[in-house]
Amino acid sequence: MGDIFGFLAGGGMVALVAALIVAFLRQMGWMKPDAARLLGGSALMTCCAGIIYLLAALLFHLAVYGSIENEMDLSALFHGPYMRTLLPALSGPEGVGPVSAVFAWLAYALGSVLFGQYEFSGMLLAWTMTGAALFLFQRRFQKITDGKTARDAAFLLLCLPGGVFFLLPGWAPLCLLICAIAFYLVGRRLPAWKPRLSPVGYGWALSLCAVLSAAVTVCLAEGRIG
Amino acid sequence: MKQLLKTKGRDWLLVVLTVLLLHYLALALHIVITSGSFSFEKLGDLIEGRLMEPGDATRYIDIARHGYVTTGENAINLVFYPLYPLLMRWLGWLTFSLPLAGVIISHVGYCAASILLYELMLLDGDRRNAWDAVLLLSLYPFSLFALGVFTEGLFLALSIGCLYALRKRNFLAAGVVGFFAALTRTQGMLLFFPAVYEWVTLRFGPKKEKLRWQDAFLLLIPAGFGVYLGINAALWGNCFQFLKFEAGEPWYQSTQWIGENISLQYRLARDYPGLAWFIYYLQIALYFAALAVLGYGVYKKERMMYLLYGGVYLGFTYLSGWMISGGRYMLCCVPLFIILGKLKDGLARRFLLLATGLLFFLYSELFLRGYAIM
Repeated sequence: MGDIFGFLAGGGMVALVAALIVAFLRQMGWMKPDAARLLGGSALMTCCAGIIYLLAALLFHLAVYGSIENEMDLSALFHGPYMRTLLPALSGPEGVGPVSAVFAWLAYALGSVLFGQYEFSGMLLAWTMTGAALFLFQRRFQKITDGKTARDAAFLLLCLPGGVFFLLPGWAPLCLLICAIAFYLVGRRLPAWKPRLSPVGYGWALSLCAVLSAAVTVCLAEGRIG
Repeated sequence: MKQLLKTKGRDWLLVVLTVLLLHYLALALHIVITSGSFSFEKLGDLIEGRLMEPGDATRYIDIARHGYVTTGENAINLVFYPLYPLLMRWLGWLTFSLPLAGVIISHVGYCAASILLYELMLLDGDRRNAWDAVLLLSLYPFSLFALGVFTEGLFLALSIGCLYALRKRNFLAAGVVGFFAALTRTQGMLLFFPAVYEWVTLRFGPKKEKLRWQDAFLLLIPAGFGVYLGINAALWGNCFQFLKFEAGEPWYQSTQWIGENISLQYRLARDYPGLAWFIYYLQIALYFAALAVLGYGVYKKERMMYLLYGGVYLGFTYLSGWMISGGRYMLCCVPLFIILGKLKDGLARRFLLLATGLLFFLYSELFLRGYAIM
């Protein structure tokens, strides 16, 4: 329980700092109000998704193993081969692949600033990268289609089977951010496009993705993958 | 000045009387509850026993008497900033009593802080907002410390004064007052954040006003902290000697990430249930309450200067490990009272005043009875 309080306290302070930065940029006229709103929405969407995935893994862990010593200990919740290598690498970047190494170095630098909180920094960085990617993706997609479709697409992206990896330290959030930046830069040349997915079809796709995503999360919590 | 007193004097007098009355009512009620009857002699004894002696008060008195020393067990008093004991020393020449001087400085500082808060609130709101903010400050559960031999009263006056000057865009006054605030407590240097923010928005924001030579006075705020570091260096040859003392007995203070500190507070609350509701749970609850209030301020588009100071103050305060005086420290997080003073909803305002009033009396009573409220 204490670790959950700690996580919420640290996360809350980071969220406050982010909100103050956005408010400052708006006040100085360096950010448009609609961009600030979209950024806020993207951050909220990322946080909600992250909390849901973490709670799902925690619930599964408690149901199967009965107890957990440290609720916010990622290495206890997710202990697949990749996570077993990556999580220690956050406190001393070595022994991981090239893309993950970039992430690990960034998390290590942030963790050093945050008084040695390397796992927390890894999570923070992953969530920040995913949030920024969602923002860039939606911002460009809005121009091509419309705001609602862009939001639906972003939501679907987080629900993709394996979407939990976007919210965990590693190469996934970094790759997502790189793809989003590329899409943002290249996407301005794309012509306007209106997808023909009906609400029923979207709901069906979302449900399917949610079930598969939960399965991946369970496998990850059990250490079968990742 | 005469004109100012004529127009504002009545309001200021009312503010001072309200603030003092509420606190002395708590003291009087304690006397009646514990001994059955009130007398001024008992009041004097209570003030002497609970406002002049507990906790750090004896250390301030020692600094005022002997200054910082480099030998003996009082060498660690270096962790306390110099302005308050210095004022005690000067006033002590008139009062012939250092504790009395400390209490007088705190009383004057707290009353001045309440008046300044009232005036600050009037700049952006109406009288009702101003009154609410003053009442919330007065009824803060740990506000009794502001009247004793602690730095809270003086620091509140200086920090609100600095914010007021910044709000009026008077950088010269803000720099000078901020300098003294930085010589009173560690958190004083945090006033540099709203100062820089105000300066940047004024000179580089949409209006882009011209740079002026008075702007340089804002650098006095970090200079105040620099003077304290200089004292450290002059006495011990190390600018950061105070950090070494803070890390040792009896404070065991270290700097850790907020999340880790909150987890630690929770563990300590479970290990020491007798202290949990005086110190540990209380500090956790205060942190989340302050965070929620600041978040509400962001949502309500409160002035960035206040939000920034509140956020930095909260973050900085909760970075310290093994904190046991969080309730007292948060008394000086002025933006909380500013934001809550502007609540529009009548029911929420009444509920807040009722809740803080109850908690104020409860914690004051427990403090006066000698419980572990520090």
